[in-house]
Amino acid sequence: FPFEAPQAMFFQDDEIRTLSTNFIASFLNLWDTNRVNLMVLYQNESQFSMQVDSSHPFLIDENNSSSNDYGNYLSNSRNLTRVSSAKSRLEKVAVGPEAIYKLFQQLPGTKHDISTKPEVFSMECYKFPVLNGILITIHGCFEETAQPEVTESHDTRGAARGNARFHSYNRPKKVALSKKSFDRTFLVIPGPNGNMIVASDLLLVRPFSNEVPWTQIPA
Amino acid sequence: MNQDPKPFLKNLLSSLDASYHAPTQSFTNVEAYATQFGSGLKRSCAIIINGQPIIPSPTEDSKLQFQKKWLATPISSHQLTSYDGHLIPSTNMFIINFSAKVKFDQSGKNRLGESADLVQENTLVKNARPLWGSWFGVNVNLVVDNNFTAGGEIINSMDYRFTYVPKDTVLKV
Repeated sequence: FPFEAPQAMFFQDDEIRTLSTNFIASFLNLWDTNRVNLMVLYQNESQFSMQVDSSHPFLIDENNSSSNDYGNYLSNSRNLTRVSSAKSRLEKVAVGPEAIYKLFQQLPGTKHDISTKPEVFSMECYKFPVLNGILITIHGCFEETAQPEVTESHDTRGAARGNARFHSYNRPKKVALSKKSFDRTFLVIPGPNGNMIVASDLLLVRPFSNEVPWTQIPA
Repeated sequence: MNQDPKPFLKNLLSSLDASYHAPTQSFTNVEAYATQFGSGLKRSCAIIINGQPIIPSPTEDSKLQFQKKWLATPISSHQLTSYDGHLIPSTNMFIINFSAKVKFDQSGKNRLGESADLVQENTLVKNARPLWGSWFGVNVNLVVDNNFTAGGEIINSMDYRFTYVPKDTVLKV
């Protein structure tokens, strides 16, 4: 392959390196522990959506028996190769903190081992010139640790917000929790008082693979 | 999203996958062939391949460098498996995150149909087809101008990353 050997991390310059690694570390930490605290990063025009790519290639081996059950994701997946009506395409993008948080609650609880196993993650960060922003893309995996706080069945309108113990609504069956791999792209722009705003957040969930190309780099 | 970027993405991928000798399209010379790879890229496009940036030199912009390098890869075949995008307000730009799988020709020939074997034993095989290897996984992020139907050079940045490399590939990545 004529391109230079792969590199796990790419940063356009040192300033971006500091900014983006700090951003990702604290973002994923809060994502795993308390997603509501992330909402300060999102503003009215911020957009979030997630997509499932269940046909993405991955390593099949005996240690990787985790079922690839996307039951917790599929109803919100905005894989546009599979969603064609303009209406549902629009519905699957969350715009503004309120809608985004609602969608966040519908995703399973997670754990990202970024502090203990940084080698399973890979990142690219570079400038987005127009808004003086940074694009941060992270590739890696996470473990699902809990069922979503809120699950959305297809008839949410009529369903009463009951006191079901584990789920807000009755579900036909529990979805098995497993590891997943993901790619996530943030567009981060400077906010009014020096803080950061996430303008766009694109999450892609795909089958877990315990082999990642960026760790096979010859020394 | 009022416009669907799918045809645009498919065009981009098929430009990367084009083969030099094909019944449907053929190119007059190598230059014409090479310059159609990723023809939607801007000259000054920021390009990152597997975490390695393409750094433009005074004589060669990043697009040209990318095309030269891509020319040296074996014939590829991409398949779009998922994409999503956001129009960023007040910029007229889309951020597109898509994933695909890609397989490469493992016959030992380059895109021009030449191999490095000095002794060519298999001259009998006239219409050699690509010997496809296993699927690689790819995640790509693009920043694209709003008017993808117009065509032309509209890609501002491309970040191409293998997310999975099969074990049985002869290709050294």
